[in-house]
Amino acid sequence: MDVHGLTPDRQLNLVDFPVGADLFLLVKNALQRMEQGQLLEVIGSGIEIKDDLRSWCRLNRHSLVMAMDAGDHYRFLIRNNPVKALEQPDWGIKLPLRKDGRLDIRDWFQGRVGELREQAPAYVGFVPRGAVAEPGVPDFGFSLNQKDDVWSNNLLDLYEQAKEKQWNATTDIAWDELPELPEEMEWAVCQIMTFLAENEYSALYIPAKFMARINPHYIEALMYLSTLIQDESRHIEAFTKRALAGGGGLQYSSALTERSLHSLFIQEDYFKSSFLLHVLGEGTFLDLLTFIEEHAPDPVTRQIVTLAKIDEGRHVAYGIGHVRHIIETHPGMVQALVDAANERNEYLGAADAGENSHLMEALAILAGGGRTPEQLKTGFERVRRLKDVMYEHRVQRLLQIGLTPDIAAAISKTHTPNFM
Amino acid sequence: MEGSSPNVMPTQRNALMIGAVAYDPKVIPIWDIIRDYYNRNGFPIDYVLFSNYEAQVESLLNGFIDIAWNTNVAYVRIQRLLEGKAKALAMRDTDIGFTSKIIARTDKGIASLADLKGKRLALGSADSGQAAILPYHYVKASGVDPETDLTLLRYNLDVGKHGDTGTSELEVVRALKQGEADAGAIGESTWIRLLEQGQVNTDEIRAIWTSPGYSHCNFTALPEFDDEKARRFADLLFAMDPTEPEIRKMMEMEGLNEWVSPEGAGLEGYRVLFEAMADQKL
Repeated sequence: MDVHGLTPDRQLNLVDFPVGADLFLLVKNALQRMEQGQLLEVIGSGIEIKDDLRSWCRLNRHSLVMAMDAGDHYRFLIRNNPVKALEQPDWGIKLPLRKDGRLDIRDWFQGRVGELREQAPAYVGFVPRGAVAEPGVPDFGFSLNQKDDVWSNNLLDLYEQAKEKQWNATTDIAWDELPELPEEMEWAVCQIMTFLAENEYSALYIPAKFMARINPHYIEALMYLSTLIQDESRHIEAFTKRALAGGGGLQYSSALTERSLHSLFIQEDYFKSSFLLHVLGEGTFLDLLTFIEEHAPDPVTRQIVTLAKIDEGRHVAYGIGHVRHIIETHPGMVQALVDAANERNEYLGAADAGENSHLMEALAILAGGGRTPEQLKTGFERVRRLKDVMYEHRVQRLLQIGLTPDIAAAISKTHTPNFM
Repeated sequence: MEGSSPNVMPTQRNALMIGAVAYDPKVIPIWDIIRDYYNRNGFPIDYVLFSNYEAQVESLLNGFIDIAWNTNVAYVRIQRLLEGKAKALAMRDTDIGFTSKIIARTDKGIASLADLKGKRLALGSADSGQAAILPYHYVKASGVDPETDLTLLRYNLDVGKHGDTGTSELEVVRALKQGEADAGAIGESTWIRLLEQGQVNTDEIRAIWTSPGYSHCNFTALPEFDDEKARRFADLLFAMDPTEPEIRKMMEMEGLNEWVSPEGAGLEGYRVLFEAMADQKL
């Protein structure tokens, strides 16, 4: 073997390593970090590893090109010859810090991590975006593989905000300031809390159902949605606690509510689901929470809905951002939204689901200040005005995502009486 | 059902039938992946599994299968029956230059084949090229007569599978570890795998000799097998993309990096086994 002109590209010092698992592991890794055709020089203590090293190389398609006696040690030259050399990972990119030493997710789009594609690569598995995958990652079967499927321009802002605004339903609510309310008012609050918690179950389950379908290439969307799910779980906790804290308890659930939520739950298209849940459902919920906040008979109820409303605002903002982005880039998708609303109405109209009578009465008691006929009359009038406000605001949100006024009015008019 | 059956049957009859020996449960996923790959590429094949190579050789000779995935021992037997006219279509890259190793306990003073004299040498299954037939041949060629100069210990396991299961090689290693034998024969793929898995302590057992390279398995067809079909069959093997996950999985299970042509070094590497089997009357 002519040793002249063979210059190793890398060196691996394995003096004292016996032939075995560790030695082969180190040689394999060193070769994986090299380009096709490059030479690795392995320094070993004895010639006895030569034959085993040669066999290992042959079985792995590398070649041991030379073994050289260098006095007190041996040098083995291996030519890297994989079927296909791996890409090489980044090294040396340092993320910038913001003031107060903050490391913001909006700043991590650098180098390979920053290569956010419109179409996620196939066979990405759970390989973090930016890392280098060995070939052979199985198909995990993700179905939301395009950026448009899940992204929203405000996604990263919302994620940073969501982390800042987390609260604790155990310690951040002034539970010890809960007064004893007149029984009819406590009942109204308990009925409303039952309804709110029930709806939040759907808002937790539905995004969760889709999360495992999102390609991990868009990990930021999953990170944001996990805050959303944590929000909903906290709301369920807080609403349920409020119903129990004053000695009342959870009250009635209506078939209307369950059918309405089921119609959301069975939607298998993420775009349609996002529209129905975040834009129409949670959008309408914002007005409901504002109404409860305004008429809350006690500081605890008010504090809970105030905090929940801030969270819901982020969810609606994500939905609007996501749906608007798709409508902007694919105007034809408007029809899918109309279809989604119609499909849902058909499902709900197929049976006489009745109405949400206990909730309506509870909202009237809350808004009227009690259960006397006069108070109820005032209360029902206020609930009617709430529905008008909900209608108007829905239209505004639908215009915001890019629908025409007539389509916006049509969708808003037929929205479920369940609100969510 | 009535409507669909005419579409199914002719396809299956048209499919080229490949034979392989079921030496391990993983043989099924290996062949399912290969079959799916061929079907995807418009060249339908199916496979049939045999419990031993003798039955597979017979099935190739009588036309029940079109191509056999053979060990070197099965290939030599077919060639002897067909006067060397059978066609070798393709092999794994790892089938060329395959070696056997003589391993020895480090406390027995064995540093070369000559040191085997007077010692106990463990061989694997009698029908295994790498663990018995070729080590025997090379030891004998070095001037040490395995029949008279040493004590031969044979570990015949899974006979009929030509050493594919590797169980007899593991028995050889066990015999060395437990002091039943002083030295033993093993194929390099099993030896390297044991080293990689940390199952051998090289302070106690070490490879002291490595054979020259020889050839291992190949896809064998009869002399009259259609050349065009043979070419397409081989070309599709060569075109497999090892970065494709299913293909990658199959290649890892089957122990190859790529499929290669037997022309040249591949065919040349069977010569020593012809000699060894003739000499050992196998």
